[in-house]
Order: sequence, then structure tokens, then C-alpha cells
Amino acid sequence: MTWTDEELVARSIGGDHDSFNQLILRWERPIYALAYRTIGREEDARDVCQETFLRAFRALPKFRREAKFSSWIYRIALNLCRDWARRERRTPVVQPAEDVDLMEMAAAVEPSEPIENLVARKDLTRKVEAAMALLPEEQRTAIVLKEYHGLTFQEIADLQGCPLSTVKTRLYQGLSVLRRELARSPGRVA
Amino acid sequence: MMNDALCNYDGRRDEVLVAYLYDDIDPEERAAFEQHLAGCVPCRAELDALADVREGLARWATPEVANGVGGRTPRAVLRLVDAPQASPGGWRRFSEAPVWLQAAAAMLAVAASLGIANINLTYSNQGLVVTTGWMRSAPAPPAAEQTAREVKPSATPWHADMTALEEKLLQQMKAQPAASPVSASDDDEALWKRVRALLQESERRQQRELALRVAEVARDAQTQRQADLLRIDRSLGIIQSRTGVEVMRTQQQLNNLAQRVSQQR
Repeated sequence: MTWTDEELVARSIGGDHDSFNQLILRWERPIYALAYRTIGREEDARDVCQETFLRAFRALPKFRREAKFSSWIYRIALNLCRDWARRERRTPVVQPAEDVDLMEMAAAVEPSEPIENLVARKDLTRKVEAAMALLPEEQRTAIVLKEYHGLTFQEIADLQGCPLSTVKTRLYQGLSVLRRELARSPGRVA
Repeated sequence: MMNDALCNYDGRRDEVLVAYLYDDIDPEERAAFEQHLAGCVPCRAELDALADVREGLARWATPEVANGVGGRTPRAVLRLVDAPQASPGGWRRFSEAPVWLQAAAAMLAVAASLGIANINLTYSNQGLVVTTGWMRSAPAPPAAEQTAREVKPSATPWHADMTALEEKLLQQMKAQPAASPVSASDDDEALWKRVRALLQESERRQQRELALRVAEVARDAQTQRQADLLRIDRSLGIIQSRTGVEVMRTQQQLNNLAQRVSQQR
């Protein structure tokens, strides 16, 4: 039997903590994707993702059951992304020892996909990322929520705490800027 | 006929265009806008352009992540709640009880201790006087619980409440769900293992990130080097061809000169 999000929340509050694990499994990738596209940094997006579920777990007793779990968890994630943007926190890079050859280390590391593929994928997405980075936070968030998470305009308006018309205006303006920037960049993608 | 250069759509044209683009529009508004689109070239062009932008956005993929990027139920790491398992342990059940229950149990323990010591508090003209069982000939009490029950109600007006609270507490503890049989030390070990695993995973991710950056820098340097070599090659080629042309011209001039000299002779 597949439990709904709200049923899993109720079971978690009732003491069945494996239900919360199921919620994490169900929502960790969308939340990570949201954090990554909003923040733009892989490592920090992972941290935001984990912190999101940590806060959600702690705040479970306060969850209003008439609300949608997805909206609630998105709100937590977006607040954390906003906090990150304000702090401009940077993940410290591991400093290699002095006698370590970085090129050797780069060759020896076994990532989940070959480094060349990672770099190639980054090339393709770099143009879009660069264009998205130019947008104000509200426009970028609205586009990410609409484009990649399929939220309705009303849901985005509720999350961003603004009128419906404002959401549509933000989307229009954001897409217009992206249109200009992507047309300008070499090897246009749009 | 509509002016091709300007759009004269009445209403919130930008908002309606976006709503139409995302197919998140009221049926009436959709019908009206489609009628407008049929005769408005700028709107059709802009709609197509924004649709292309959406196609470009669709290529923005996030890095692949394995299960676990969201962590797991925090209590496994933070020990907020124990994992449910087989036979209960008394202390583990007690530690799971709500705070008010634990406070009530603490009060009960204090009252029981007072009962054991048979402490008597009196306030008189002599001030606050505290006497214990050692100072009187009262018999030694058998056990804390039983002692708490046997304290005369007249001497302790709150005794009835305490007894009721004690019974409620015992009922609550019996009703508590089964807790883990894992001992405190085993739990600590599991926690340290998990923490170490998280640290190692974090270090691995940072090393990957560093390796990726190094690979990007190396790739950029290689590309730049190749571009520079190409430019140098082209420049040398140009120089070579120019030099060749100069040499040919000089040779031609020498030939012409030689011919004139021989003709003059």
C-alpha cells in the first residue's frame, strides 16, 4: 500500500519513524534539485537538503494537516536557501598536503561518473546556470518552482507570499532576461 | 487587421502570455488569447522565443545523487528517539517518556526519598526545624514505593495526589511502546560509526569537487595552450609565406637586373 505524504506524516508523529524515512526517500531528490538550482553549488545544496529534513523532522508536531506536505517542505527548503544566500556561506575546500600532486589526485579519484563527462555536462549547463545567476532571487525561484517542480502559480504565490499576478510577472520578466542572455552567449542553447 | 509591430491585447498581456505558455490558464482566458494570437505576430514570436528558452532550461540537469542525500531519520544520528525493536528495557522506556512524566517521576522519587529518610519539616516559634528518621525512634521503612504509600495522609496532605500521580505514572510506563534492547554503549558506538561515515562521505565529496575543479582548470589550460599554438602556427605560416614572397620578389629583381646588365653588354 502506498501511503500519501499526509498519512506518512501522521504515522511519523504517532511514533512510526520509519514513515519519516519514507518521506525522505520520496522527497530528497526534488528538494536537492530545488536547492541546487537555487544556490548553484553542489556541496551546499546537499547540506541544505539534509538540513531541510532535519528541520522538518523537528517541526513535525507543528505540521498543520490541512496543508500539503510538499508545500511545507518546499517552504523550509526555500527559507534555508534564502538564509544561505544571505550568509554567502562557502564550503571550505579540503586542503591537500604539500606533497600531494593535485593532478594525480584528480586522476585517482573515482567519481560516480568520469570527470570528462562531468566537465562536459557542466559546459552544457554552465550557460543556463550563468544566465539564471543573473536573475533576482524571486524571479529565479519562481522559474525553478514552475519549470522543474511543476507547482501551480497559486502554489508559488503561497510559497513566496505574493499575489498571483506578481508570480506571473516574475516568470515573464525572468524568462525575458534568460531569452536575451541565452541568445547573446556563444553556442546558444535557445 | 492588427498592427504587426505592436500588440494591442487588452488586459494583463504579459501575465496571460506566461499562463498560456505554461498551460496554466482559465479556459475563457485561453480562448480569448488564442483568438488574439491568430492575428498578432509579435505575441506569436515572443511565445515561440520563450518556448525555446524553456527548452534550454530543460537541459539544466542537476548532478546525479545517490539515495541518502537527504540523510535519514535524524534520530538515528541525533538520538532523538530510539529505534523500535524487541523486548523493552526499563531505563530506555523511561527515557522515551514525555518530559512531564519524567518530572513527575522525579518528584515521586524525591518524595520517596523523603519518606525513606522520614524527614519531617516543621515551622514553629523556633523557626524551620527539619528532623529525620535517624533522630526519632521510627521503624526503618521497607521500600521506597511502599514507604510512599504508607506515609500517613494526615501528615502529608499532598499524599493522595502523589499516590494518584504514582499510579498514573506506572500505568503510563506500562503503556509505553517497546524500546530497543541496545545498550547505551552499543548506541554510542553506532552513533560514532555513523558520524565517522558522514565525515568520510563529506571529505570524499569535497575531494571530488576539488578534483573536478582541477580537471576544469587543466582542461581550460590545455584549450588555451592549443589555441596559442594554433595562433603561433598561423603567424609562422604568414611570416613564412611573406618571406617566401619577398624572396621571390628579390629573386625576380635580381633576374631583371642581370638581364639588363647582359643586354647593355
